[in-house]
Amino acid sequence: LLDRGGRWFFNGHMLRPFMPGLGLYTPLTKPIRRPDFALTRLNDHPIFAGIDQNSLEESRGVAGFYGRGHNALPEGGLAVNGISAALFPIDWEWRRPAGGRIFSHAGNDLGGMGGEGGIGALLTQRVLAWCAGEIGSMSILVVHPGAYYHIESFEAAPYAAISTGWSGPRISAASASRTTTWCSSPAARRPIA
Amino acid sequence: MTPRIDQLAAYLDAGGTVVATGESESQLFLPGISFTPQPTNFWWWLTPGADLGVRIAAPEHPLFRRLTQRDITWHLHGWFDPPEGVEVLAVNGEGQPILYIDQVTTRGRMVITSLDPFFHHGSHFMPATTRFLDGFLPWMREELDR
Repeated sequence: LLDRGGRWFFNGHMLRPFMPGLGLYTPLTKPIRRPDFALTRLNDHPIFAGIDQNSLEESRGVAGFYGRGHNALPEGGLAVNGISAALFPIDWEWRRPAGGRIFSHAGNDLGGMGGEGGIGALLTQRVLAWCAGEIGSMSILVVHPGAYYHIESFEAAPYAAISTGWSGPRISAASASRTTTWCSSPAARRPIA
Repeated sequence: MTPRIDQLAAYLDAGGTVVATGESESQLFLPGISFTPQPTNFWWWLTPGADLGVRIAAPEHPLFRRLTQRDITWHLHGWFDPPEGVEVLAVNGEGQPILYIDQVTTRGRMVITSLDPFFHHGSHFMPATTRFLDGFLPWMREELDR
């Protein structure tokens, strides 16, 4: 799915890294005190656009629900939110060199934060939109007749590196004669079960 | 788990021990279990002096050489109506069993509880659940090594 330009929103603790480039979850060092739960926006991201990260620190006056650690930031990944004074990357996005993107939230269900009817609902919509490639993408739709000229253009040097992650499935010789629609993340456009 | 009911039954009949915790719907895959869920008050501890009501029902049991009432108190998720002859170790505020050991329904042993220590320990969230496992797992190991 990722190689074909798909997206994966990973919500949880990475204990069994499932592909090269991913690393393990590291919890905050105990004893944990209230300042350790401080959240800081490190880089803008469409999932969090317009949302005050500090407003997600507490629920009913209790801190610690958002998360208590971080998944290792892959090389080349973008830290979105940091936790504690050390700014451990509790949220990050990684655009895989081999294609696709993974967003990691190393905590409780992101959609359950900030009240299910409020920011939580907005975050859920944003996560789904991000997975579908509707936000956070340079979404490129290329419609072409599937000739080998086009394959050359998308998959050979010098454009292969640029097209990686958005050009769509690698086309096989058998299907090259058919009209093909390429879009940014076809696998992620399937309904989410 | 339900496709494995026969395998679990065979394991128990061979003298095996099964531990089922939390909201794992153990009544669906283990024999003799009657469970009534209850709404969980996740915030009871915010009220000063509040008491969730959990009580040790068998203080003489070896498990409670390792665990105190504080170590079994975090959330209530429901209670059981167990068969005659089981060993009830802890109850909720209404005296209904929330942790018991059943060695009468099968030839093996079922440790049944609606407490959910594994979930919360793994989430790095609830110190009581870590204390529970610090006591429970060594006790279970000791029992199985006897």
